[in-house]
Amino acid sequence: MKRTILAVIFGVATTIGAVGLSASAAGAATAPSGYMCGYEDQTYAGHDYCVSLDTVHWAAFPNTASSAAANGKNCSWSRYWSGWGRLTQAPAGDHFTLYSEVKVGENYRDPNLSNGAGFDGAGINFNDTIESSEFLKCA
Amino acid sequence: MTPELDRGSGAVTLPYDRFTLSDNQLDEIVTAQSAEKVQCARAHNLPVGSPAPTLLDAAYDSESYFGPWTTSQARRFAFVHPMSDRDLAANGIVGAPSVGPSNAKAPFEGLTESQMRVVDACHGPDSDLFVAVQTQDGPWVREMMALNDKAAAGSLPGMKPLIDTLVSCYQKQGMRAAGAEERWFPAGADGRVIDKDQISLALKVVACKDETGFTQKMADIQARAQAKIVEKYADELAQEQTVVQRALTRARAVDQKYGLEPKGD
Repeated sequence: MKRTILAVIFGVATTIGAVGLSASAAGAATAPSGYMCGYEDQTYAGHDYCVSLDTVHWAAFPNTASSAAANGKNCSWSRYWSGWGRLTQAPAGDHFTLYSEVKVGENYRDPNLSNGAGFDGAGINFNDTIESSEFLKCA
Repeated sequence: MTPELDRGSGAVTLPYDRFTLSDNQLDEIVTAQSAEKVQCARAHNLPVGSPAPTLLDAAYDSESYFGPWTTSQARRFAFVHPMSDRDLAANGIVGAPSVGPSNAKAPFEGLTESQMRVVDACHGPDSDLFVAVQTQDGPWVREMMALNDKAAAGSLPGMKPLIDTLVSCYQKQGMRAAGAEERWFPAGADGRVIDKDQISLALKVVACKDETGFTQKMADIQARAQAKIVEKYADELAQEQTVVQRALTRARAVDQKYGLEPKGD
């Protein structure tokens, strides 16, 4: 896994665990099984930032995602957070949730985060705000 | 509209929480939604597996409220957000309990892209209701978000002196605040690690919170602030509550029909 050190807007933080996927996967309309992804541009285009299950993936999304797709495999929920607690080292701020494509089959991607994101982020502009993530409801 | 603190479960229930889905309730609805998708996909002769049951775990009711506030939270999670053991492992939390291989079902795994387009177009008989309950929106959402951001920063009126008192207790215990912001978070604490040292530190935090009455007092302040918004939008929130109850009743019936009721992990 290539590790990238990035300075993020929310203080100076080390982002570890952000994986740019291979060219064949990048730009695909859905995330590979076991991953949750954010994409630089709308409709899953541009550079992708993806985190995978069972790895340390702290603040992996540097406030640049304009679309997102989730496929947490047996983790039903992929939760995207607008902040990363520099002191607490935990997700912070507001969030929206996408569901696992292969486990739930619904609400697994959002092509435009500026006009609401997921179901629980309805009506909220999350464009270029996502900093961290977590997998939840894993079976 | 007073807050309810449940030491047994670790739940902190504020006024607005009564109008929204808890994570466990949301899971019941998402399970039903997925089950109806599976039935629709089967009707289109797609090779889908069995839907996954609802996952019930007490951890989802437990809330890290300005850090751990009960001894059982401190012992199980230290400073990590409460979540199930499998979630801890999935998020790479250092010190997460060992979990065996997953036997979980992912009914749509292996479908081609064109087959997933068929799934995308599938809407079960309760789809509109299930989507509606999850996408409820209104001006109160933004007002509550702004309020919760202030609360998380400890900047609602009355919170600063409470945090000062907590930090004084920390100092008596040989601890100090980690920084000028989020001063309730002690130096040395790490939200990604569960080990003996982190648990020991978390237990000292809980002891200070108990000594100062910190959690109840902070929740009281946040509840009073939320109550103003809840009262302002009382009619709209009452309607939301009706939708929540209808959706839960329907989801539970669907889950039961397909044998997907909540099971322990």
